Amino acid sequence: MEIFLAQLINAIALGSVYALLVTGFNLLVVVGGIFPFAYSHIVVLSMYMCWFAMKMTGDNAAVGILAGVLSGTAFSFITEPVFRPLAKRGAVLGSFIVAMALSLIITEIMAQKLNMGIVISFPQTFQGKEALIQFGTATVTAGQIATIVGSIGAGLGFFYLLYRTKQGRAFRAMGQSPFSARLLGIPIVKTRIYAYLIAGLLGGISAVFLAMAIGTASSSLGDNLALKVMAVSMLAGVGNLGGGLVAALILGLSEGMVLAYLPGDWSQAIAFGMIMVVVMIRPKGLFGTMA
Amino acid sequence: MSLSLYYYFQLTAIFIMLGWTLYWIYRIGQLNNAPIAIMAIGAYLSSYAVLTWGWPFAAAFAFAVICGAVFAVIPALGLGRAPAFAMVIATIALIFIMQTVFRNLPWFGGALGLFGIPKIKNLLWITYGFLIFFGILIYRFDHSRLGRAADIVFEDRDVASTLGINIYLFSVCLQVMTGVMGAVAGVLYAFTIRTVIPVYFGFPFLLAITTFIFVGGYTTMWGVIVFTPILWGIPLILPESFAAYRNFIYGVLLMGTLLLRSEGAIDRRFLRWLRIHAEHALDKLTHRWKKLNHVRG
Repeated sequence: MEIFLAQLINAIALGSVYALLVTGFNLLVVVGGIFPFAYSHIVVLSMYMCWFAMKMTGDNAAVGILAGVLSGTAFSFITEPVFRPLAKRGAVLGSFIVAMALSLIITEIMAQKLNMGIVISFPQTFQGKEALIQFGTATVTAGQIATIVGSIGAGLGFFYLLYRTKQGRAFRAMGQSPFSARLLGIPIVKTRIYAYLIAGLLGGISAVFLAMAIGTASSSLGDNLALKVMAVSMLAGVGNLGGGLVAALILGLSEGMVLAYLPGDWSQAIAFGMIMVVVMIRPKGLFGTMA
Repeated sequence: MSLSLYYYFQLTAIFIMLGWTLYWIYRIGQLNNAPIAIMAIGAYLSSYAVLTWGWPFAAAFAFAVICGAVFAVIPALGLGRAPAFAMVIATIALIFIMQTVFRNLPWFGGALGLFGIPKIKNLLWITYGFLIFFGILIYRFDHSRLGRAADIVFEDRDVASTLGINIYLFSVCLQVMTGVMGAVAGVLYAFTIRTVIPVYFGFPFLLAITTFIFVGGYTTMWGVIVFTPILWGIPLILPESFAAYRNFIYGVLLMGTLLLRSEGAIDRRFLRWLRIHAEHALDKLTHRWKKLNHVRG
């Protein structure tokens, strides 16, 4: 029972980070009009920036967090001009392949140049491994609580922006129909840029929480995360922001439980198998695509 | 022939075959990456049959290809009607699933894989024999009613349905055919490298093949033939410090091509231009030959 509780909390922490990642991903799908496969790679690159900042400032967590968040925002912003011509002509599949190319470039930079390709490890103090709540042998760490609370906070902040602000209305209008949004006087390019900035901000925050939750990062993490994010997006329905949150939690939970109770490295296979089955039976996802 | 040249020719042929698997199914607008996963099945099953059961190469080859074809049917039936992205993600997921399965099953050697696969005499001829066979198949497909039907499906699925094209059946058949090609490529790959490990059939490999097809040109089969030897071969002759950046070069090329020339280097317009100029040159040559003969006569 205690192992189950410990794994459940771990799974919820991981799931909440996935939810944040999927939210940023879906924002770029809906407003950016692209399929941002390289989004997770940008998040992992932000993890590296966070680590570098901490190394340079003697493991200063505040500087690391700031560096992670700012670099996520900046890297996402830098990629906007690359995808603009593709978004203009509605080449979504083309944008997917360009994003794959970008992911290849980012992975190679991380593998060849950053920390000489060696896996980076975040300080124990940053990961928040100290137990705050104890259930027998199972513990809830400060890092897990910070991840869950922070992800919920960031998610709520984003949905407030989306449903209670003018910018959010512009995002939703562009998601429904960029043509109609233009007729209504919504500046398309500016709105897209804001979407990239906010997606980058969410990505930077996710990078920090991933660093806390996983504790390490490597060049291959981007590919793993990218597939999980895409898979969650397909499970929920591409572009479905609300559905993505639920699907991310489902994936986090199933991964956590599989890791706890099955031998070997079956968690990925089972997670992807689940998604394949959903895609084959319900190609538009469990909750449907964004209308 | 030197060993390095042998590997270059052998692997180029195999990568051309894999590029064609992506090309063939993309003719109807679907990006299906399942052949890479089925390549793993072909490689592992043929190697296992030879190493563990002691089967001869021909029997192991047939067994692996049949299993690959059977396995290709399963996702094909489910993904035949799937939207483009569903197929892309599901088939990428399939690659990861296959990797995980082979990595965790002890009788396939786990993470270490299978090694000591015996050398096959005349494997180069066998490989190029299959390459020519698949090339002719795809060429005949492209220049037939099926090829024209694929063009319509690619342009507008609704119009294709209205014209009576069964898109689902078309998709399933192409997925199975490309699965068979993937299995053949897998067997040939295993017996070339003589080692099979799960990491060979992963995402970086898929990205390399995607680069060959999209940089070469995805609207014709010739782009893969011309550009695979170049893209595969150039990093081999570069100094080691540059060769390590092979994936980086692929990423830059892929991005540049899609942004600047979305159909790739060799597209249909280029082929038409080449054909027209070749015909003009031939006409000129024929005219000059006739003139010369007339003067002599």
